[in-house]
Amino acid sequence: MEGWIVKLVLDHLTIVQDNFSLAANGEFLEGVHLISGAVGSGKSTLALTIAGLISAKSGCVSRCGIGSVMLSFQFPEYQITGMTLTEECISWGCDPETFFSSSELKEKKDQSPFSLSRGELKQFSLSCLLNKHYDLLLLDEPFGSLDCETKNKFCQRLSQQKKGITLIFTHEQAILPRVDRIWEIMDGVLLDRGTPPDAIRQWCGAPALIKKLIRQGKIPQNITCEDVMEAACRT
Amino acid sequence: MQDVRIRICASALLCFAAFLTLYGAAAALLWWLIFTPRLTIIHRVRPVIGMLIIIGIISVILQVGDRSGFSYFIRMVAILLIGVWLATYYQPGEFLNFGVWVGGNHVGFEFGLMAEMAMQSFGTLLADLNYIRMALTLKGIPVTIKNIIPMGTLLIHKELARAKDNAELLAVRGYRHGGTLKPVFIYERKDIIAGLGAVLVIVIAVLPFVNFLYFDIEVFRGLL
Repeated sequence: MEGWIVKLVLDHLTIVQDNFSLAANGEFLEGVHLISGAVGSGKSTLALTIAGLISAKSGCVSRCGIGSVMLSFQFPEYQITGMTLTEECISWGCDPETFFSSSELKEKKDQSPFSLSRGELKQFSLSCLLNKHYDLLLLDEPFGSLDCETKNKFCQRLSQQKKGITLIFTHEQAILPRVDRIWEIMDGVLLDRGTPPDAIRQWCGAPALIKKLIRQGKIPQNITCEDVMEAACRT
Repeated sequence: MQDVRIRICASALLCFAAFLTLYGAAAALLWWLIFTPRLTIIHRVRPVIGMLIIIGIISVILQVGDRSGFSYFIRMVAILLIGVWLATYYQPGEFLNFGVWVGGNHVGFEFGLMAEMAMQSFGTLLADLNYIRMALTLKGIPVTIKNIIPMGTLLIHKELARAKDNAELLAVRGYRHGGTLKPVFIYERKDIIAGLGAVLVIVIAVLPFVNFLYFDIEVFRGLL
C-alpha cells in the first residue's frame, strides 16, 4: 500500500532469563538490518521475543503495518512439520511444483526432510522462506551450516530485499549481505550503530578485515564482500 | 529433601502404596501435601495440569462405566504428583550417585549412568517440544492428530541422534563398563522425618491387606 509505514518498535524492552538479561530500545524501518553480537549475547532470544514467541520482562514490541511475521530458527530441523520435502514445502506456503522445478533437491522431493544434511536442510528452509514475502522476516544465524557458495547466493538474494523489514541475527564474519542499518548487542544492550558506511566505523564487532581497513582509513560503502574488496583495492 | 536415597526410596514406597490400596493412595497424597512444596511443583512443571485433566477425563469415563473412576483418580494423581516431585528436585549426578550406592561401581554405575542419560534426554525433549510448538505457531499450523505425527518423528529422530552422539562420545573416551565413583550424600533431619512418613504410608496401605489376610485365615481355620 502506497504511503503505508511499516515499522517495528522495541520500546524499552527488557528480556530476563536464568542468568542473562538484554535491554533493547529502537525503531526498525523497512530494509535489511544486521544485528550482530558474540555467541551467547542474546541474539536468538531477542529474535524469539520480537516474533512474539517468548515474553519480555518489561517494555513492549510494537508492530506498525506488519501483517505477516516469520522467523527462521538457527537449527532448521526444529522447523520441520512435514513428512516429506513436498509436504514441508507446502507448510512454508510454497507451490511444490514451482519450487522443485528450479531446485537441486527435486530428486529428493518425496524423501523425509531428515534424509538431508543440516546444511541442505538449512538451504532448503531458507529457499522456501525467501520464496514468500513477509512484512517482518527474522533470520536467526541464516548462514550457519552453509558453504561459501550458498552463503553468497543467499546474501545476494537478501541484498535485494526492498519491501518489509528483514532482521538478520548473526555472528558471521566473512560473507554478509548489503544492509541498511547495523545494530550490535554488547554487554546485554542492543546498540544502534546507524547506517553504513558511517555505522561501520562504530561497529565494535566488525569482521577483522573490515577493522583492518578502518585502521587504514579505508571505510567500505557497505559490508558485502564486493564492498570490502573495493575498499581494500582503493589506493 | 536433599538426600536422593531417601527421595527415591520414599517415592518408590509412596507409589507402591498408591498402587496397592485406595487408603495408601490417600495417605500418599497426604504425605505429598505435608512434605513437598505442592503448588510450586505444579507451577514449575506446567504439563502436569494437562496430565491431571487427562486423568480426570479417564476417571469420569471409568466412574460412569464400572464405578472405579474415583479410585483410579486418587491413585493416578498420587503417583503423578510423587513422580513429578521426584523429577523436579533431581540434580544432575544424583542418580549416578544412587546407582553406585545401591549396586556398586560396576552394575550400579551402569544403571546410574543410564538414569542420568534418560533424565538429560527428558530435559532436552521438553526443549524440543517447545521449539516444535513455536514452529507450528509461526507456520500457522493447528495442532491436530495429522500434524502430531511429524512432531513425533522429529522427537524420535533427535533423540536417536543424541543417543548415537552420546554413545560415540563414551566410546571415544574409552568407556567400556562401570566406573569409579565415591558418592557423597547430604541429608537433613526433615529428610529422615519425611522418609519415616513414607514408611508409615506403606504401613497404612498394607494394613487392610493384613486384615483381609487375617480374616481369610480365620475363615479358613473355621472351615477346618
